[in-house]
This record gives sequence, C-alpha cells and structure tokens, in this order.
Amino acid sequence: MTRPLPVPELRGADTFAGERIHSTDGYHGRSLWGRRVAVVGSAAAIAQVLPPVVTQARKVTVFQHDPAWMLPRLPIPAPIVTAVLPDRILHLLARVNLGVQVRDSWMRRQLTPDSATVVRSHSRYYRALQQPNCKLVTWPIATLAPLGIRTVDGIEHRVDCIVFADSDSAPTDPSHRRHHE
Amino acid sequence: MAFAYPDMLGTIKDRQWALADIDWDAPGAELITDEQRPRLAAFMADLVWIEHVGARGFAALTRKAPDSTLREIYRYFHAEEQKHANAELALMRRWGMLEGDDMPLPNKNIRLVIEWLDRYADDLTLPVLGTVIPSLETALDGALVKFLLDQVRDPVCHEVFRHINSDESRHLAVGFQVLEQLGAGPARRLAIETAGFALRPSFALGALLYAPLLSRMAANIVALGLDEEKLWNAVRRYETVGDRNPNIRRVPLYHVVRYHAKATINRVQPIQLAVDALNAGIDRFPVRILGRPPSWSRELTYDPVAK
Repeated sequence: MTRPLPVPELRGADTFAGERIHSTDGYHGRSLWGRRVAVVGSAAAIAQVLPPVVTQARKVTVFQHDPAWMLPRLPIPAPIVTAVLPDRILHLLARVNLGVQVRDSWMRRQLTPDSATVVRSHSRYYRALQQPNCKLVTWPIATLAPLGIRTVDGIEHRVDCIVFADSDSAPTDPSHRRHHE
Repeated sequence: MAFAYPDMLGTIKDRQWALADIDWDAPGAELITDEQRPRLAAFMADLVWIEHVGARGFAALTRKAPDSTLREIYRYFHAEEQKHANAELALMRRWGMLEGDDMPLPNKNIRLVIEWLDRYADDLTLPVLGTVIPSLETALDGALVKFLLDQVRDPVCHEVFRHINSDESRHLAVGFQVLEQLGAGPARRLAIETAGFALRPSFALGALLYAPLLSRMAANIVALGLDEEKLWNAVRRYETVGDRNPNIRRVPLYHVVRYHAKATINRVQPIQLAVDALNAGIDRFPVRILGRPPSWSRELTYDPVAK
C-alpha cells in the first residue's frame, strides 16, 4: 500500500472548520465529552489514542489506513519474548488474538494487514473499536470538507473535531517489533 | 506507450465526487411514471446489489495486486463501486421506492453470491478476478446503464450516471490493462495459474452461482424492455477490446468468460438448459439457513451524510 498522505497534504485540508488535534501535540486536557470525533491515521498510531477518546466522545469514527498486527501487552520481559518467539509464531499469535477479540469477519478483514508487518503491542484497540459509539471506516479519504471528512464511498462523515494520530505517537513494545520483507 | 498506474491513481483522486454534491431534492423525480415505478424499482434493486457485489470483488483484488500503486487503485475502485451502489440507492429513495429505512432485498441468486464471496472471494486469484470483473463492468456500462438512461428522464439520474460512467471508464481502462499484463507472462505460468484455480472446488461452486446470476440478469433486463441488440453489443465490446490485444487473447479464462457471455445472450443449448435447471434449484433454496448476511453487505446507505 502506498504511504498515506501527511495531514497537510490531505485534499481539502484547509477547508475543515472544526478543531484539529495532532496526537503528537498531546490532546490530554482537551475535552472530547459529547463531541463527534474523527480519528485519522495508521492502526499503530490510532491504537495509542483511541481508547481514551472512545470513553469521552459521543461518537467516534476511526479512519484507519495501514492495519497492523497486534498482541496484548504481555507480563513477560521484552528480551525473553524476542528471544523465544520467532516472527512466524508472533504473527500466528497476532492472528489468533484478532480472531478471538473480533467476532465479525468483515471487521477482522479490515483489521488484517495485507502483508506481514510489524507486530504491535496494544491491549485495548480492538475492544475500543467495537464499542457502540465507535465506527471503523477503511475507505480512502477523498477530501476534508468544512463539516467533516468525505470518503471515496461518497459519504460525508460529519464531525466536530479530528484527531490526527501521527506515527510518532506510536511507540511499540520492542518485544513485538519485527519486520518482514 | 506503457500504462502509467501512478498517473491513473492521480486522475482517480482528482475526479472524486460525493453524494453530497448532488441535489437529491431537485425537480425531476415526478418524471417517473406510476407505470414505470414497479419495474424500475426491481431493476434498480438488482443494479444496487450488482454494484455492491462488484465492490466486494475489488476488495479481493486489493489483496492480489502485485504492485502497491495498483493495490491503491483497487482500494479506490472498491470504494467507488460502493459509492455507485449508495448513489443508486439514493435515486431509489428519491423516486419513492424505499419505505422508511428499508433496503432492497437481494434476490436469491445475489444472496447466494454474497455468501460465496464472503467465504471465498479472498481466495480467488488475480487471473480470475482480473478477467471476470471487466466483463461485468462492460455489461454494466454498456447495457444496463444505457438502458436506464434511455428509460428515465429525471435529470438527477442523468447527473448521477455521468459521474458513474466516468468512474467506470477508468475501471475498464485499468481492467483491460491488467488483463493484458496477465496475458503477457510466459505460457507455462499461464497454464499453471489456470490449472491452479480451475481445480479448486470453490471456483467450481462460484461458476455454478455466477452462470445462473448472469442468465437471470439478462432475462430480467430483456423482460424489462432492453433491446437484446444492446446487450449483445455490450458483450461484443468486451470481445472487441480483448481480441485486438494479442496478450489478452493468450489468457485462457478470457475465452471462457467471453464464450459464456455470448452463450448467455444467445441462450445456447445445452448450456442454457443447465443454467435454467440451476436457477430452478436456487429458487427453491431456503436462503434463511444462511443466517444473517455478512456485515459488509449491510453497509449500503442512501444518506449522503453520516451524522
């Protein structure tokens, strides 16, 4: 998959009239209570910010690109996990984790990476995504509009605020950080 | 000149439109007559579901494309097919064909195809998807949509289908380009790939669902008043574009799809007899046992705005 455009290069980036929050700037302290919030970014970055957003906002629409394999945080020291588990086993465990936590087959597909990617460590991402006030959208973003985000399936998602989950805010547990080519 | 996928991706991004761009309350809905409405509702329901099923085909292609730009193009095509289905649903609503929030029900053929796609679409190979989808797009673009525009005078309908036709022209351009590339490989690879998918039971099951669906769609649309000549021309277009390219002619499945489409239009026996028997069986199939349709098939919406 081609890399997603950085936020300023999203089409219509200047047109959105609502509040924009960059996760790297920190959104703590800003109230999202009762608001309609969009969270935009890669799965790895969104996972860092989504759980607290879902607990506050009235409605959360997650615009996820680049899904990532995920495992819950384990109570085992990172070097041990790295030394013991080969990449194939890590990916297998991540697949099992997805299957156990996400019952809907289409959502599982939306959350499955196209290729063997880095395995990330997050315990609450899948749970947050399945909250009743949260919706996962994987359509490409066509443009930002004054009142929301338009996706290529032709729908405008109205939101009060957009949280741009930047990759820099997505530190990962080194025990689960493997690259496959 | 080599086909430039990055340029095509740029064009696709430049040409985006949204349901909110269209004034769904503009005058013209009253041009649909009471006589037209029931048969048009049946036609539109089929069209919506065919677009939606096509969208799922493109979703499968996003996992099969060998190149990252082409994968991204298929991501857009997947979403655009969904947009077409959404827009057609919005037209149905504009014309008073949907009661409340009800969605049109897929017929049994389509319901079974949805179930099959849900289970097996991601196992399909690039040669299968890359050969079948342009054939369906050609039929959709060349026959169904032209028929609709001949029948309906509502200017909003014409505006919507101007957008849809523009999108579909890019889908076809990429589709035939991919088909050409599929045929450009060594003969040994073509033979192995063909044997690889043809021997799969899921492929045979898919063919047993696809053939009756195509036959029923063709029969339905002719019964609605489409000139058979136009349907024939749509099939000829697939053949004409394919046959003038030596690489496409090397793809074995292209010939199967082309022959099958012609046989469907001409009701060639004994193929038609077998397909009619399959359709009779499908009509008796209790689709309730399939349970709830997959969640992707419930994502259609006529609402331009998600609040």
